[in-house]
Amino acid sequence: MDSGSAIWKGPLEITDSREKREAGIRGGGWALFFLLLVVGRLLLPFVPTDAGVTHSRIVESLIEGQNWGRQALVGSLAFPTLPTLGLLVTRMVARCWPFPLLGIDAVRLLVACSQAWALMYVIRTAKSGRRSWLALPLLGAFAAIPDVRDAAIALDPNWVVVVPLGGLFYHATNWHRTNALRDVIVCAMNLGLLAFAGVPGLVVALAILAVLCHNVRRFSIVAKSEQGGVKVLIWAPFCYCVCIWLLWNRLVMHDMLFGTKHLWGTVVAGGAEAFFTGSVQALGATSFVALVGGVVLVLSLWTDVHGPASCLLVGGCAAVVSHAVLRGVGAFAPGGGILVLTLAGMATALPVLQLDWGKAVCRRLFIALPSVGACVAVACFRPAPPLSSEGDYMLPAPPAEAIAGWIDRHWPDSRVTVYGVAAPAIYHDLPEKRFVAQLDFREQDFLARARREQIHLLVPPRTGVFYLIKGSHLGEIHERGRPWLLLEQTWKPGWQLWRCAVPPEGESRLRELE
Amino acid sequence: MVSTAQQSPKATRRDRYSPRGFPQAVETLVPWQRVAMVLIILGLLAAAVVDFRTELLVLNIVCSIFYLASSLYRVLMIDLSLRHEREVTISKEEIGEWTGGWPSYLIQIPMYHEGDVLPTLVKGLSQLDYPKDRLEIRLLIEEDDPETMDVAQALDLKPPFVIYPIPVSHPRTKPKACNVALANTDADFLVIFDAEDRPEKDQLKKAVLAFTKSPVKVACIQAKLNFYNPDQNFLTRCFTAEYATWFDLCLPGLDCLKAPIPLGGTSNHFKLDVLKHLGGWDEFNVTEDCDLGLRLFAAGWQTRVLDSTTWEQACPSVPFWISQRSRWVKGYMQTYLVHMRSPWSLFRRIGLWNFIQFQLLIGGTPLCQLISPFYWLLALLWLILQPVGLEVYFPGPIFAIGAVCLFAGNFIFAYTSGIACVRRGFGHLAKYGLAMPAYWVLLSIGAWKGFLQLLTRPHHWEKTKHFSNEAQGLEATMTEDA
Repeated sequence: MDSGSAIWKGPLEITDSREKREAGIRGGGWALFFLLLVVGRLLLPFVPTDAGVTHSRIVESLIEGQNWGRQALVGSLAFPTLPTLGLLVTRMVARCWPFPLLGIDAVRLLVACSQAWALMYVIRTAKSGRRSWLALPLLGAFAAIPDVRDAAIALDPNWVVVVPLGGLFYHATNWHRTNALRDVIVCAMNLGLLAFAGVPGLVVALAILAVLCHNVRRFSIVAKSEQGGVKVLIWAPFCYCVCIWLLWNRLVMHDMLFGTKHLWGTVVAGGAEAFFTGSVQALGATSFVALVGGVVLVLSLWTDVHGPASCLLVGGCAAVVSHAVLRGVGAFAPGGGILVLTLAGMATALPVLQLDWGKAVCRRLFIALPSVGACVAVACFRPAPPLSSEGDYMLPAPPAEAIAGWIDRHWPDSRVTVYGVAAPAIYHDLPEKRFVAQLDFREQDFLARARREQIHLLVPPRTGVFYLIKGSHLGEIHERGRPWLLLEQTWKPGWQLWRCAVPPEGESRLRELE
Repeated sequence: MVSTAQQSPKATRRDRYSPRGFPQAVETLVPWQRVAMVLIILGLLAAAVVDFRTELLVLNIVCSIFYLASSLYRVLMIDLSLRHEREVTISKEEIGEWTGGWPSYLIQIPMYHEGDVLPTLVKGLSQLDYPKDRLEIRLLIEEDDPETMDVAQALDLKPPFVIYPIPVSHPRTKPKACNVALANTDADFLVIFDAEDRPEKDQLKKAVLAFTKSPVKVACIQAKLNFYNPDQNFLTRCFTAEYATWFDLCLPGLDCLKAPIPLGGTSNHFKLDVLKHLGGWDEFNVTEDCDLGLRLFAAGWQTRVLDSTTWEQACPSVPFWISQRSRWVKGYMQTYLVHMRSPWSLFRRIGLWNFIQFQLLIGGTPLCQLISPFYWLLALLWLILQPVGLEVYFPGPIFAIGAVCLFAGNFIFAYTSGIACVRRGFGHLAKYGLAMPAYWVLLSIGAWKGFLQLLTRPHHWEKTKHFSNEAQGLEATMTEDA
């Protein structure tokens, strides 16, 4: 070669800008589509739920800096962190223009955004643009199932879990197709977020993580020497999220395992008969919906989409089993049904949007169609309690005014202490003028407070929602009382108002008698 | 390169500019910057006297917001690099099919007291796959370094190797040596390697083809750097994870953002005429490569990242590692101050978005490393002792920002180190990526040392120490390569 001095002059055309413009237009299009979906969802009806009210109250307390808000954010698996944090963020957004003008509250916005986001993820997995339209009739067919329809209109912040599930679905599908490292990382991140979604979320995440790791090895997605590293990346976000949840419990509740103790107490206290009845009933509630997805998924295992299908199948099974077990032991876990429904919906969408229908192997899916149809039909008319009812747990409670009125007759300066998450959410009193909220009942703290001021104690009915029936202080008080408590009043179906007989320091009860 | 410390010369107004026309780091602060600094310190002292609580609150708010912005920027950069393959990739087939001929190439290797590595270096560079008649390899040896000179002469080097003595003059820095050698060449391309570097054999050919594939505006191709001794100890494992994060995630991300790219110390392939036009390196700047990357960008040139690696030795000793790091951080701060001598002019030349990126990357990196220890201490205090009264300095939104940075930001940074290890092919180091917070403590120590040196010995060059096992590592890499 004589001279290469001119070769580096290079091409004058920059192709990047055109790609960038196209990507920008595509991104803008999706953003607009998302906006349309949110607006469309906001125009459809909503039904308020107790879970929505409870999470809203927690958020209000957090914003006001109330200690109960912080405790409820981290210390309860029944009212997990993710929906509360999601609601907190949405509340900030809902305060911005134009939401206050339109009268859209935070829970509505959260549910609408979550559902729209998840739906967009599902649509985006479609193999082609034309195929993506199939998601809409599919959604329509799925909405024919009363359970799905009822759950979809429930104003339950637990709907936020569909966002990480949607992300998982989209990226697991992509990962299977392209082997891109980013997809598996986003899958792991989404599963990490599920660690903040209560027991059902934890169980589903654990199950899917195990399948993802198995898939890394089985399908040799990366070189053998790199598999260890990929597994570390897959597990790290989930483990980290669990660790920081435990740390938050240590910081706020002064007990790392506080959040798990309620669940453990429920498991220990439950009887075999009750477990059997409860879990069978819960399985009845979920089985037909789960079957719709399950049948499709089992048959998808031998197709092009076996990777994401195996994740969804194991995740769906974990969701159904955890839902049944939690119901069986009498543990209170709203949101589990949403996980089951969403995984079933995604399972049905997967082959429709993704599979190469021309291939012979897919023909067996057509065999599945009648069984799916049968399952849908049964799901529509089955005699089981609807899944959507799990968001409603509050019993008729005496109005706050009635309790305050009763106390004011003799103890106008007294305040009522309420414990747990659900009961303080009912008697929500941000300035803590009449009701003082606390997550955990500690006898010493209660007595110390009683020495500072006159207090009453409101004990909710023994249903297992408000406190543990066996092995909890409130359960014992409800049953047998305490020497330093006087039962002043009861309301149906079992609310008890106790007055603490320990006099505040410097005050003598004898003076009252004089 | 040269470890001799010397006093900063008294800079006149004219000295602030290199004879080749660009602002140089001959003095740390120009008068207006000095005045501004004094005013800021006086303002802080006065505010502390009046109401130190409010002052701390305001400082905390500013730092928290800056921290959050820096974290978000880094996340964006890393996400972009994972989304898009931005490195210029040249396959073996492309090299084989190339019929356009090869341009003349100059390799400069500045050396000082590095006679012991010279035989290995020569052996490694002899294996470079590039036509020998188009190549010149200059060993830049200081005249007052007889040890290296003797070894070089004893090797009886033949072309393309050339011994290039560098006359003794101030400042005693690596960029000064490179500038001296830059004057006498008419090659088409130039690349700098360090004495212990082991570039991939076909890197020069890849760089040439990368230039041909890139737009004409691309004047520099940065090859990736990584280490051939990652498993030596905990420090080298973390250092490898950090290098992988920078070269395999951050630089491609910066490329996606079309941001100014601070060049890595070696393996920068330049179009020589552009480099000469820009005036070469700033011999007073201790990270002259970072400064040059910014000057290239400000002059309208682009830098791309090449998918080819130069293997170096990771410093396995904590004290020497801290010294090396202190130089890098000091250089970043020098570069920041030099380019901020006229902020308005910089803003006009590079535009708003790139100006922000410059603040976050060049200004933000050392600043975050300097303030991090305080926040870690605060976090530990909060986690262990839970002192009363701390909440005054963390009102709701600032507490939220702080919590996001503490719980999410730190994890994401550590996690991305793990990602980088897997991406780079060091999957077994992914778990060490997650242990990076321990390494960040060292990083902050280095940053503070660099900051204090900036005030006391701004032009002192903390030379990177090379260790005895390097020859073994290098041999091992060469054998694998072969």
